[in-house]
Amino acid sequence: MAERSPVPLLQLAGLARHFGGVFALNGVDLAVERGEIHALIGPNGAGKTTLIHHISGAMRPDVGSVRFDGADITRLAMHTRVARGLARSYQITNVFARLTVFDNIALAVEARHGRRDEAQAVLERIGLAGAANVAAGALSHGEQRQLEVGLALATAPRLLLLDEPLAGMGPEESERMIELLDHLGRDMTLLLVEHDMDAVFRLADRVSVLVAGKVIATGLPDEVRADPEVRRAYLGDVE
Amino acid sequence: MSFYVESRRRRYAAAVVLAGLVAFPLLAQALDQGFYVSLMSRVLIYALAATSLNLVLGFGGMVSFGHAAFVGLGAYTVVLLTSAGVVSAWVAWPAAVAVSALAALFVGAVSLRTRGVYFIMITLAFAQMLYYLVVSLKTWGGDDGLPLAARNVVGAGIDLKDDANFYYAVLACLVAALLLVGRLIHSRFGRVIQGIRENETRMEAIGYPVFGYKLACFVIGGALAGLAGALLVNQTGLALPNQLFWTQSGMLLVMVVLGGVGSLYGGALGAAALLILEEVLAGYTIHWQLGVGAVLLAVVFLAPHGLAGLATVMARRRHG
Amino acid sequence: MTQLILEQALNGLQFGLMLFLLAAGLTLVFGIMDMINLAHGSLYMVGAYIAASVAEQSGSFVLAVIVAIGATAIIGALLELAVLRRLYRRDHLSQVLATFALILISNEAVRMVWGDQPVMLAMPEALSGPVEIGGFMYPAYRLLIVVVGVAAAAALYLLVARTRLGMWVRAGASNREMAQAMGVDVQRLFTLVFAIGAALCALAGALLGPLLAVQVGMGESILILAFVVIVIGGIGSVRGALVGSLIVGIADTLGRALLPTLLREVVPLEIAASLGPALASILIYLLMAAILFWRPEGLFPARA
Repeated sequence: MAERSPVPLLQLAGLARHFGGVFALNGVDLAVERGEIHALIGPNGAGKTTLIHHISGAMRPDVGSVRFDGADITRLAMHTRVARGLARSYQITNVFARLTVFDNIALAVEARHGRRDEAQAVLERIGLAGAANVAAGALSHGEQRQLEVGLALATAPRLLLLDEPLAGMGPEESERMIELLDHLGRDMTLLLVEHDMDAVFRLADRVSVLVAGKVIATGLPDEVRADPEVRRAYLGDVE
Repeated sequence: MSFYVESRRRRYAAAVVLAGLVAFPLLAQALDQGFYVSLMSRVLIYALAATSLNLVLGFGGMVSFGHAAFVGLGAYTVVLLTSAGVVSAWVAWPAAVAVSALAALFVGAVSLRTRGVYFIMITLAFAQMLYYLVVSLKTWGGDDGLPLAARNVVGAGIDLKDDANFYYAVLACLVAALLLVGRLIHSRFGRVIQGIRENETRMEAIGYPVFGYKLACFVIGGALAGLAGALLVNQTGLALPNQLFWTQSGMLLVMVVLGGVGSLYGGALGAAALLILEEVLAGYTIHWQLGVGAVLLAVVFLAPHGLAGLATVMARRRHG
Repeated sequence: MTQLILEQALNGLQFGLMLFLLAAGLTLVFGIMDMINLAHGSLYMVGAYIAASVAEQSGSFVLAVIVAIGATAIIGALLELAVLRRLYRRDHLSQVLATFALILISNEAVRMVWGDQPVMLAMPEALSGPVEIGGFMYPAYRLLIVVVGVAAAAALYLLVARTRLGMWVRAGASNREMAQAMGVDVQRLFTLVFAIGAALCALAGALLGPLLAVQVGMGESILILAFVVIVIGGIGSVRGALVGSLIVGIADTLGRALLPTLLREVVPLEIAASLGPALASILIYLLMAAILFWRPEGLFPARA
């Protein structure tokens, strides 16, 4: 007898949200399986960041539900979701500029009542151990993006929501970040919003495409790449 | 990294000031200037009130425009208890702290659901509400206020009616409050509160229950303000509704900013500076409030980090 | 009894409309410049004082109102150019403190010119008697205030909803950066909005002068009510300011008139005698708290 497949770690059902007459999210259905790296792509204005806001708890939908590990978290406060293992990073770097890199991570560690010195391990993982005593505001853009991921990582999440982690990065920095994400993906589930197609198709186990507030396709990267509707809506005539 | 002068130098300076404050009444009485002891008590009481606001505003980042209401409530609590026969300071003063803390809990729970400009105006409105409540209850003296029959009793043979004894009681409370606030700031709670002030969204996103922490900070500030109120009514002998009017809250804000927002002694420094400035100006002209207004404008535009900030800038220049 | 209620309702309408004159200017300044201006009440006070002086010198109430409006508008514009425009980029705390300093300075300045005692602003002779409306007598002067208030509200509505200036104001209130990017002359717009706000304050001050005392500090009490109005109505929204001021004006007036009497039906006399006025005076604040609990951004928030 086949085993029942486990419940998806994250399940969005019929999520809709409008702002003054415009539907930013128009009935989003999405399932992220345990242990996978799931990429979310789509044209600008499709609603990707809004969707991240709804998963992380910064916003509440008008209708629909968000389920995390089987439990309904649609109305839960943000910090409660973090405590359950759902953390996010921001598209526009949002670190504590006046604190040192170490203090930044330590804050996040202390939030889950961990010990401050656990921050060292996190710093090593994201490759910023050498900059521990530098003020976060003094880091280079790429290093700040690494810290950005590190802050979310320090909360010991089961699902990491990453909003365009590669934003504004040059080729070398991008390469480092892609490697980092690849490593992280082995220990936890990642939902990755990205524009960088190279990174997406290298990292992702599965890809979903969000257009005008709806998911129009979900599946293996090659399937999605070949899907005619996706090509029409998003990839254009890219071969 | 704190903006202000490094800790060691500041601690040394604080110790010197404390020694001076302890010696002050003895000095004043020796020079037959006993009146000044009463004046200094008033300065120290406002230093306590301003420190309580500094916790909320300077460290917590919450621009609370209704703080004077918590001071006033503390004052009224003490008068009402004393006239009901409860004259012991050991009961009346903690009661004042508790009442103000409760009021701060109510005001904070509603106000902290809002942000920015709304928050400022709502704390303002609630404080004004408490003012109108106190003023319109005729049994509480209305406009004329309620007099305090006699200063509270501490026992152990110490009579607070003696101005010097009362001064030391006030000084003890101020020192205790500064120690408490200092410990809080350097604790995990203090780190969280300052993190919230820096970047509230991110604090929530890394898992801190931001609302709870802000409310706790707000309530602790309100509680200390209640203590200041208890001391104030003992000093003046009269609880007045005017003490809750919003412009009084404005004056407290002025003190905190004058002294240096977010520096531990900022509230105390600012209170001393403002009260001394008022005394000096009042000696020259009845229109001294104009002078205060002008100085305040100057501080806002020229020295936004207040006196503590100026000290830091000067220290940096001297030591390179 | 119905006559009492009608009369108080009209009083509430009258008070609400005057509150609207203050609140409208305040909410626009907030909405467009994102600035807290505590000195708004001082403009109201200055308007009342100027009107009182002109009325005394010239004997003409109408002239007094006109001069007060004009002079205060100029003072407002000067204030904006000299001090306030340096505050737009600053944080709210700095704005609070600087405008609080302006209150201190203006209070003393008024004291220096007019002295400590309240001054008299006489009600115009022709309107000091009662008029008959719908079967009962109502003070003619208060009726005038209602008429002027409605006219001012209508004029402001036309200005905001139907003119180009109004369009810029609405654009600026909902999104300042976008308005700037679209080429609106922001500096001039700000000064103009401020002057209009000051003019409205002066009108309210001059009209209320004969009813309330013209004295130093009169601005501080009414300012808080204006804040309550804006918080209820929603920052940046003139419509919200109108709805909010009517709610506050009528609730406050009716509450003070009726609550003590109503309470006596329910609780013993001694308690009602002290509780009644107390409850009446905090009624609008409780109302504000209730509305905020349900809608933290007010009834008609202009900001996106």
